[in-house]
Amino acid sequence: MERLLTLRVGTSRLNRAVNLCQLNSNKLTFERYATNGQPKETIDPLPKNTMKLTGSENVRPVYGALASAAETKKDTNTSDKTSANQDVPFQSESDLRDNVLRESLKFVEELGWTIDAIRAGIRASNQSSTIEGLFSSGYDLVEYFQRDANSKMSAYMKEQMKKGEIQGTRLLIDSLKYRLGLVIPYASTWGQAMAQGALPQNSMRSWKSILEFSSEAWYGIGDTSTDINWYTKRLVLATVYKSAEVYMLQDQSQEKLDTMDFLERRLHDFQTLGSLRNTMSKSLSDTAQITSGIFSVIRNLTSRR
Amino acid sequence: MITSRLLLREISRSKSTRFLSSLTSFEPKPEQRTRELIDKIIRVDQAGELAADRIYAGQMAVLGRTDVGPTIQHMWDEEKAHLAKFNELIPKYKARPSILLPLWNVAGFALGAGTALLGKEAAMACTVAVEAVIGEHYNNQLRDLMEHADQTKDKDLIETIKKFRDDENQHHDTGLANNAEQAPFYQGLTSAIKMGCRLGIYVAERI
Repeated sequence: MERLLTLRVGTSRLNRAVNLCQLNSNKLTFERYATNGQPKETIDPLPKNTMKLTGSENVRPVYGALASAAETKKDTNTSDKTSANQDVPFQSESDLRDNVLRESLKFVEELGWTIDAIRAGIRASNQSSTIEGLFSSGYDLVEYFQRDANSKMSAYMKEQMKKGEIQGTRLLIDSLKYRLGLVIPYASTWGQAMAQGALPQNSMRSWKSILEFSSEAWYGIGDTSTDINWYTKRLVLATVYKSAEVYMLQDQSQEKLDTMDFLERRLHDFQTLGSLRNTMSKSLSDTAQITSGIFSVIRNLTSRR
Repeated sequence: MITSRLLLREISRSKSTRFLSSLTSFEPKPEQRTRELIDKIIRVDQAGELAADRIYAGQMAVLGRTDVGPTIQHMWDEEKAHLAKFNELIPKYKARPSILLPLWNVAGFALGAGTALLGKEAAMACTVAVEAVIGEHYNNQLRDLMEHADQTKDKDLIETIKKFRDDENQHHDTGLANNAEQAPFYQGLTSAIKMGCRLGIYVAERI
């Protein structure tokens, strides 16, 4: 089905999806009755297990094309005269996107981090292909994956903290290894994902997701810095992790064990560097005292008394 | 003074033209918006309390041995407590501190010491100006929180800001009681300081 052109008159993407659905509904009806004028099957527009509309975010299972058109209509609050308007299942836009993107991850190996993989995901999750309007490029898939991996990592950290066996820097190293482990299954196509992140139109979002990952990692081990250290810690951790990802791209070892060792070595270096920085900041206040001492010496030497 | 307030209201009204958010995908969910609001609030409040702490430090450095010394010391101790509270809230709400904290540090000290050098009435006038802006600012934040935040989960934050607003109003009244209005160029001084504070608040919310 080719993409229909729509006017972007300041309407949200969901409104546009609705318009596309309405335009498409004729086409669907035609296809449904395509076989010799006999209906292929009776499609029930109201799925049997509907629930009352309760307002904000309710995640419901996805249904076929007509039902999702009804859902989106309800979502945009248009007045619907049919009896379906009380019982239509409600699914928010972002949950819908997340569901589709989760399905699309299965197609990344063969189709790459592209809009094709998202299309395959849409088909696999049984949605109308007009939902494609909700996605702009393959980068949406990369961003979803990053977000999902970050939340898994913080869940892992929370669990480890609760168990209390591993502490501090050891926990940080393990969590980063865990996070890298989530990426390794996609190592063959990860180069493409990183390249997409580097494109100018995606750079802001990729920066945000890197900083969010770094922030999650530090908050996960209970970091309480509240000044410039907040920024340096996160930037250094993000740099270390990204270098490990780049290393992974050319790593030929079994199960990418070399990459894990690389990450561990870099983090140990970072640790020693960190302790160096602490001694440096202490020495800064000493420097102030030393400088004022030198000034008073000079003043005494050069005064005429 | 009126023009600066109008100008700032116009700047803060341009929510529909947020350029950076149009580079991300969608309208943020309500929880996302609340999170961003709280992040912004904690960032600007921590920067503000640090600046207030440094202002009083500057005033004490000049006027510590005069008769208003104890008053300033008392107000300074309360500001230190405020700062400690916000430092505790930053990891709790996973907020980002302002990257310009060194700037607020230096600027606060310079303001405090500078006005104190003009005399103790001027120092009190500085206190009055700053505390007036801060009180108004906390009230704005409380209004935003009442509208957007979850009243039960974030009750601690709301109560904290209420208490701090009351403390700052008390400092304002203390400043007035200590002959702030007799400072040289009282109107000009307070307007300039208020405008500077509002600009600082605007920048700290974002950077």
